[in-house]
Amino acid sequence: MSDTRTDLTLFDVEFQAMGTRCTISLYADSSDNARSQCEVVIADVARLENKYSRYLSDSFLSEINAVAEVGGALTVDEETAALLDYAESCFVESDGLFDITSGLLRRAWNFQPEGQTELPDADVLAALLERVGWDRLDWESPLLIFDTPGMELDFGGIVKEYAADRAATLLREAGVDHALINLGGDICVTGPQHGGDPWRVAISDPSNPESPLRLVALSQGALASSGSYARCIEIEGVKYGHLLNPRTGHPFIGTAAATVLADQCIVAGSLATIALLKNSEASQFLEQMQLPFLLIDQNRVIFDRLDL
Amino acid sequence: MHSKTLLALTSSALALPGVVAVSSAHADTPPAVSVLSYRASSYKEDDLDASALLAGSAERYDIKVHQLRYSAPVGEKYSFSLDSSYESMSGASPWYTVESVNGDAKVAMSGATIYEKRRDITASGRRYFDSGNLGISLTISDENDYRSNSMAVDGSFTLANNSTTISGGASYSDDELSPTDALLFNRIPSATKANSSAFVSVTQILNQFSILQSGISTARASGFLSDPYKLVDRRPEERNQFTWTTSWRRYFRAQTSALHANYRYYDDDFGVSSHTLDLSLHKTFRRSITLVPSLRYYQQDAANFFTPASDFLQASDFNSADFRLSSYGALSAGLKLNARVGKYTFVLSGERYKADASLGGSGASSPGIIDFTRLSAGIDFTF
Repeated sequence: MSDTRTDLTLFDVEFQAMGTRCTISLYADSSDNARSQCEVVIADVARLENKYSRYLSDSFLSEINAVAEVGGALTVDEETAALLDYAESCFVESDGLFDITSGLLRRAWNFQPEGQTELPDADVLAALLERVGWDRLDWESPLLIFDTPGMELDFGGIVKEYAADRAATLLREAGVDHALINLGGDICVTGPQHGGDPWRVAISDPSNPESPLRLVALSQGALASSGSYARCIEIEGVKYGHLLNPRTGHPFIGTAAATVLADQCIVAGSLATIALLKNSEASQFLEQMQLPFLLIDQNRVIFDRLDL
Repeated sequence: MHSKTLLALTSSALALPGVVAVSSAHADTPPAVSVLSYRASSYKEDDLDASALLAGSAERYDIKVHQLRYSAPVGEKYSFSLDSSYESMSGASPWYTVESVNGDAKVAMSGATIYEKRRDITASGRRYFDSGNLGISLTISDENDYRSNSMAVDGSFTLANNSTTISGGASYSDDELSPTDALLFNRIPSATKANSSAFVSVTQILNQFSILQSGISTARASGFLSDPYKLVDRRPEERNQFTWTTSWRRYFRAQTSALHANYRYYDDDFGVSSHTLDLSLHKTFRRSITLVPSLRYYQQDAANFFTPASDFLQASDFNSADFRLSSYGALSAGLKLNARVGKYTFVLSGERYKADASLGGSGASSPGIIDFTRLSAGIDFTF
């Protein structure tokens, strides 16, 4: 596609994947051509969903978790190995807060609209915590060893962002240099808009998702958000967001949201999540990254560093 | 300067298939952290074989080295480092070599055990640019009979394709010798020598798994190049050296192991030429423990003026019985362990080196060639 063409129109190609609405915005001469250019991405996102979904019983993740359930070892492919390496980096860099084995804790909490009204039983939580912890498993690439039976892995905070990064690479390899990929809020661009203007991405007010809080300009790289607003519960007058602390097994008091801009969507996403897991140290942590961010902390203080 | 966390996550992310660096944000930056390191090493030469000893002590050099290093980023575009080392050495060195009645060469060692101390300090600075960096370093080395001041500059530049890096550098040193007991043993009381060198190399990223590097360097030494402690030793006052090195790195499986293969060819106008082949395997366990077994093969031709027995008659203009100029070969095996625990990295390494005249190239061999064992332990603190 040549930059000098003026007969191109911006199309939004929409599809449903990974439990969310996905959109690819790109320039093409017809809606059919726009759609056909996105097929490679739609297929790749579906491939990753089939491989890493914890809801699909025939996914590779379910195969991993079947071994994790009883204890034992299995060999993983290179892509999974690289994802586990990435998860390990997140665990190390967050001092153990970002932990892909912590999904198990959700069994003690119900964040559905008509969720629980009491704290879970301490013994139940303690029993779950004994099976949580990246350092309880032995990751010796390509061999994954579960010494402790009853564990569970969840790539929830990683795979959708990874899919967005891959989508950008796949489109760029196909010569699509002016596209925006949005996988349920995990956003990557292959370059500025056709004509050179940056994309304008709206960051919504987490307490009022329909109203945009801020517009941010994006010409390269990625943007990802993490928040505990979407689902929260109130127990004895205290409000808890749905993000769980793997050290205590408890959610954090109050709700918060963070949006981070980075070169890679997967990095933006995990930094936003680590920041929220750092709770009262979220703003300090994000300041240290020296990346543009927007944080609404648990005290509803807004840190707007998007124009960094 | 970005945080260590961002760098760690980005490098892990870039190892994922289909995740790429955003090119316009690819500037060369100083290291993100400060490092304080300490190493203690012991280098011990095996005693000289009794059958090769004519006189003196069979005990050869035993060197203990303490090294301290501090390096830190300075602002967003500079880094600074300071290296210092302290060496204490004891033992005897070959004094002269003679041919015994049955035709075998035998070594006479210096009578008494020599004790030496050496201190050196190097200060370096580096400036980082969008696509490269430029560094300068100054070194002062001092021992009771030797003093050396040197300076080096080097730089590297990455081409727009982001996969080719060109590096180059030059160095100069000015050395002063003042041998001990010069009057007593009729040694030269003082002398000077100078060394200059230059190198250029190209590093090419072949694909996500392998890197190839190749480079050449030349060096020129001039002045008093003989060994003042040998009874007889006279070498030319100029030595021109040429080196060609090639190394290849291959990463395996999510970058948890890597094979390093290095070849080095060396040639000088003393007539010495050598081949070195180095193989090492770097295996990382759980991102924090690295084990590096290594093997090295070395083969050298003798210098034109090397004589197995010291040339007391001074029949030729130049002569030396120094085993380092003889024909020999060597094999060495090493093992290194790095373990990272939080901000600390512990390092342990050992190397066993065995030289053999039968592995050598052309020219005569020496009875004085050495075997040695090197052990090292250290700790790095990152902050």
